Amino acid sequence: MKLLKFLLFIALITVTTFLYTHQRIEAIKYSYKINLNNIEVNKLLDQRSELEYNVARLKAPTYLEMQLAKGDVKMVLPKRWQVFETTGLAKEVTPRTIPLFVRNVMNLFSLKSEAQATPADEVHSIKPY
Amino acid sequence: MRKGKHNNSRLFIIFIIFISILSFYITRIIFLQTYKSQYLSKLAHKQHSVVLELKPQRGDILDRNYRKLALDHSVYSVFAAPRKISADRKDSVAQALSKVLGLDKGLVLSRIEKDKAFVWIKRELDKDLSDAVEALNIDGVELLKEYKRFYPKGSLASHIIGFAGLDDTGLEGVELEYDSYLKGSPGWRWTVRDAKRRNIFSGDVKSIPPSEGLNVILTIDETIQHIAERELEKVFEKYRAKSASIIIMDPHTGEILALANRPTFDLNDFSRSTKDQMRNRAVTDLYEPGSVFKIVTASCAIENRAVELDQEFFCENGKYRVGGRILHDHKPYATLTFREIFEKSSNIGVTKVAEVLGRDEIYKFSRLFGFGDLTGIDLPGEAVGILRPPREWSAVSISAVPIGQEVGVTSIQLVTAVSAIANGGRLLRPHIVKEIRNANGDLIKAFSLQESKRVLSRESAKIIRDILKGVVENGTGRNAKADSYTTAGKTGTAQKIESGGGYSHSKFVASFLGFAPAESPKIAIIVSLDEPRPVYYGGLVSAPVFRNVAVDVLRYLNVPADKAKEETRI
Repeated sequence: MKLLKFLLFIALITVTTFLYTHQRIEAIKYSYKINLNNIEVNKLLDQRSELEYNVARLKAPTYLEMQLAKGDVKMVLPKRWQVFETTGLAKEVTPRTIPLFVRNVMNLFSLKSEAQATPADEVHSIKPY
Repeated sequence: MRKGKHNNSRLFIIFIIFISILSFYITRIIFLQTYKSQYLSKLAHKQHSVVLELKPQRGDILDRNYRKLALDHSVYSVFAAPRKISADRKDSVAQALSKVLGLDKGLVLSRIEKDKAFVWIKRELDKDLSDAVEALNIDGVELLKEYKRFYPKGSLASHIIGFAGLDDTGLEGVELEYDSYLKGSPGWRWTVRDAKRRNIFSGDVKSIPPSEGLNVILTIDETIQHIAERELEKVFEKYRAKSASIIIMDPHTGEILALANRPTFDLNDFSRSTKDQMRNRAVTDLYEPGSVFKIVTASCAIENRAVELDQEFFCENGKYRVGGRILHDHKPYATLTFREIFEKSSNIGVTKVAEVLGRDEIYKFSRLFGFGDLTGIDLPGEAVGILRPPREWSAVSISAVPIGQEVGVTSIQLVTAVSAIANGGRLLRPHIVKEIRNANGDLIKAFSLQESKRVLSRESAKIIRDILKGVVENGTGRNAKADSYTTAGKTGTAQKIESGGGYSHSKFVASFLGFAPAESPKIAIIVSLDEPRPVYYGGLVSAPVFRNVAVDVLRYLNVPADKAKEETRI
């Protein structure tokens, strides 16, 4: 009985040791994988910054003007009569012929939008001024 | 029996051998674990644990519309560990490296023959070169990743942006002035490495992340800057000027929209440029402004109500003796009204107005407009200028200072002064940086409207605007007149001082200082050319540049034309 207990104890110790060693090896294996992925991430980040640089270079006004000159593209500003000026969105037209009371009653039976955009929700594009 | 005894003795010998071996190992272990333990653990720690410096990425410089003007990009530098390269290999290594890198073999050999652990072979290589070095796979020669500053727009806004050196430290322009924001601070990571020098991530890794550099957003608009540089380049080439400068400023905020100088240089290749090319003349160079300075005299007279607009002054038919010197006009005039004096740019007329005002008032207004003082622009090397107090004036100074002689000014001072007239009388501090943001785009610091002081009443400023409009409509600034926008300004043709003393008759500074549209100004512009040839009048050389730039910039800014006729220039 004592021998069995001793053997079980030894087995337990051995299994625990194996598990611990396996866990350490796996951790190191994963750390290598993480390392490789980090290298890949850095490469991609470098690639992105290179592309950003190229985009900025290609968008430079001097470069664009040079390309237009190379292609002998002559551009002329449009005359006033060639430009459609939009002063903004057309205002919502409320039929005046329907009395307010009737409109309110009709509104009870009509579907309304769940949420309406407020001026604060509007996305403003970056303007030069 | 004998056989058994013999076996026992053999077993005993084997036992003794094993015991001896075991004892040796146990002794060795005890020796290593006790006597040598500290030394060995230190050695192991040194081999496995590495402290890595995590370099921060330098912040970007962007224009007001967030278009990139300067950014960091990784490059590779090649270095060698001479002690790892055996003596018999050194020659072949030098041969291979010199061939790929285009370096002198002797130079490479002299570097790898040094008894050092580390020597640079070549820094900041192109990608092709670094790939070629990697392909050589030479033991003892390695590549190190570094960050290099790139300027995608080349020479555009070079004098504003400046540049950063090899160690990522700002050396000129915004790169220098805002270096503390741009460079960030390094971080550290304690990591464990295996025998192949691969990083092993373990639970006890300690790390302090680097604090990345902040992005600096300029007030400059890339397109406006391009327009300014394009027109300046044309006139610089055409008149073979020694140098030229242009500044475009928003007169209501003090924001510099464009600033350019000629000669210029390529930011990506600044090491090949001369100091002369790199100087930001618009901010650092002093010159006698000549007639553009008459706006100060006019402002002083109007603000003090010392003269009426239609008050007449006798202009002595072109010759007037003051304090022993004879003052000339570029054309002889008999009688001119106050308004006409400025439209025709009569030196004698302005002197007579100045005599009414007195030297103290002229000096006071010059100071009010910021002359003889720093404007406070956030660019390095700004010059104060020269403006002597009245007690140091000579007898002729009353005929010199009011017409822009005996004073030294910078272009930035002039454009700041004219902006005060354009915006209704407030002198603003010009600035080049709009805001500072971190990599995520969060606002760290904003530089909106900065200190201002009132130098003129609104009414006086409006009268001066009308006079300057008249200069363009009827006077010396006709070439600044545009078809689609009203413009206002003042021409200047200043004689330069000869090295031996006295004014030159062949060297001039031609300038035009103005704003547009005249009624509700959106931009203030100064154009100045040093020694243009063969034509040297500000009204002929600089005024057309002002007009072309003003029209293109106002159109770009979607400012509605305030004149009926369409501009036909492409």
